[in-house]
Amino acid sequence: MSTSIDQNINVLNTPEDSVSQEENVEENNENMLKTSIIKYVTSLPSMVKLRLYSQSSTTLSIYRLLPPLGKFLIMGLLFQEFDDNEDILDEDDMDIDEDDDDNRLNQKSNLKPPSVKDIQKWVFGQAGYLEFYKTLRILENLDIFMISDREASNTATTNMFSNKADESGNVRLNPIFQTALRESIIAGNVHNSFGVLRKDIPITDQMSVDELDTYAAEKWETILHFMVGTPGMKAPDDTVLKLLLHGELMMEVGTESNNSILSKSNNADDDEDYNDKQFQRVAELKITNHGFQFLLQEINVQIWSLLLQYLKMSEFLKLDIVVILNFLFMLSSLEFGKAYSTIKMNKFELFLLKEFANYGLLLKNSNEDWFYPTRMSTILTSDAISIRTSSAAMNNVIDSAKMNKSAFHKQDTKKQKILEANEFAKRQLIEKDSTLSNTNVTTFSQDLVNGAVIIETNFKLYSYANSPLQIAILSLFVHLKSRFNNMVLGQITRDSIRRALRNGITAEQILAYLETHAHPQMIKLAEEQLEKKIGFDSMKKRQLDLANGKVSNSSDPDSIFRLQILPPTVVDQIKLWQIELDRVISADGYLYSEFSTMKEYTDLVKYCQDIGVLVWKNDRKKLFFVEKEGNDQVIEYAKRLISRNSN
Amino acid sequence: MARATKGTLIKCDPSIKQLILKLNIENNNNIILQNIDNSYNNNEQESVLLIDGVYLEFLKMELDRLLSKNIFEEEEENP
Repeated sequence: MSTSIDQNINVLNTPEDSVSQEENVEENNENMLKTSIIKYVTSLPSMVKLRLYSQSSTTLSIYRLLPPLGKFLIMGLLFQEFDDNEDILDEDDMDIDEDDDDNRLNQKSNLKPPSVKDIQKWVFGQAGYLEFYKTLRILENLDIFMISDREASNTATTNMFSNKADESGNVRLNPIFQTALRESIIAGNVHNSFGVLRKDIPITDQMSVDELDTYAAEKWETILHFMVGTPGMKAPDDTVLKLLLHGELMMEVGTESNNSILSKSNNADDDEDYNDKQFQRVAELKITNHGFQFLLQEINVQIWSLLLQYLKMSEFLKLDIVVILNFLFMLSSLEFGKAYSTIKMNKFELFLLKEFANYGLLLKNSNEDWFYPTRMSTILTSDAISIRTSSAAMNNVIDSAKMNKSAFHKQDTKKQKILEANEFAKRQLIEKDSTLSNTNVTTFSQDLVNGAVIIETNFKLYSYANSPLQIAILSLFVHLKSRFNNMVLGQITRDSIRRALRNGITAEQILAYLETHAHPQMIKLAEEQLEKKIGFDSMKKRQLDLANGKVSNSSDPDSIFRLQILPPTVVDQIKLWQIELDRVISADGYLYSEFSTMKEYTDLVKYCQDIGVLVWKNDRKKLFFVEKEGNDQVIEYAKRLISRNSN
Repeated sequence: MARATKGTLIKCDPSIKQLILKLNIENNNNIILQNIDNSYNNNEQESVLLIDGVYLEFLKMELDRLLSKNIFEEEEENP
């Protein structure tokens, strides 16, 4: 279809649905990236934050999640009293708490809150000094710090990148946060915010640490198994499925609308019918690009990203976020292996208890009025492993093998929580076969290589994987041929990779997975080759230097040579297969042609370039192509040009 | 006076362009709106075509099918 410029305007005024769709997609991508809980809390309105901070366990959990400098700053201010009569927040509450705390605190000093500059002096010259303003901003955004008396002129021109605006003003802790955190530290009046311990549980009903671990792992693995579509596994609870769909970790494929999970009511009366439906659903759901990324993450990143999705879904369903968050933070500060009472819980909290049991965060039998938190909930706020990335996964596999030799199964209950959490995460990574973990007779050498992958240059892949989960993940992009007692053999083929690519898994994700799960032997080989290369290179350089009579200046060899764990042929081929799917690059828009003068052409091209809508141009032929979205503007400009020229 | 033509711009290898030209003839010249000779533009090797956006998905599928003909998978080994 070819029209003149004037006619085009009518064409473009027709409504475009695609624009709004694109916005949605972008938003969801952003949601996936916002996995950090701190960011989530920051995004809440300040009234919600204030309600959150009234719980001692919540403040303590948030405190634990903060960067070290943030902790230091809060501690510095926590037990200081300032003359803050301008405070709008309830004074009465404060006074009562102070009575409980300490008599010395009762004597209010007439100190002014310290200014930002004063606080900065605390950290001057220290290692984290440069982080000061960043940390300050985090705390302020969290509404933990209240900075008053900012110079008005500065706040008006607050610039993200200049620190000037931050330098004025006085810093004070949010009184609600301050009170609650004090209470939790000095074990004051915490209003059961750390749960109610039960000690009167009959011995027959008590759960051991091992039992809890097995339970949590089973619950969690059910979800992961379901995501990779392991055949013969039972599907997780309906609410979990809804969450996976809502978080776009999985999607429904090619079904009629009445089969959709989200639209389905809970009218599954008789059991047979229900089972049937469940079976259907398993076939309907497919893992997405996001879902695959999710599988590659650390376990507590996984838990948090699922829980954040849960919070977002709750927001959507108009549930009270504060209660859910407080409940989660309460869970995270409970002691592992102890039972807690549910007697004082309200209906909503009991509902949450049931919900989170689906994810293996806690164990509660329906006929009992107590529950056990599992290790998964107690690692929620231990920052030691929340910062781990998947690249560290490899080290863990090696580390844990060493740990195995010492005392893997004999778990010392007095061990630090972090150590426990680390071990749990490692165990998750190793993915021990459930049958093997029951018997507890796994050999150490097997653990070392469990799940490790070897890839040969002929695209053959060997994986020492025992667990169905790991095999299922591999089968997403590998053509598996045979399975042996402790390993599987497969081949990376064009078809298998294309299938994965069509499912939305990217080549980079596949390569990242293979790299993190590479067998130690492959890494050793790669290191040896790298050393050889570097050695050869430096030898050549020395010869060159000698010939030229120069003193060699040590250049960084890492910049030239990178450790190549995977065979380059395989890496390149997988990337080529991805490119191959997109043999043509296309763009919707308008082609401008038949310009009478070069000036006309260059004026318009320059304008298109300036507003960033130019896709392609050919100066010789006086042709250029403009994006659909920017065409209106270009036409407007062209009209103005024409009218100017005619005058 | 300049003209603006609505369509979808496609950039591809010269070899792919030949396949598209063949497909265009098979489909009664409905696909390609303008065949742009890009050979002297800044020494670029890629070919540029303006096509009717409706045919984009069809074109991609057909190209995939034609190119797959030339792929030979490694034979299954006999144990």
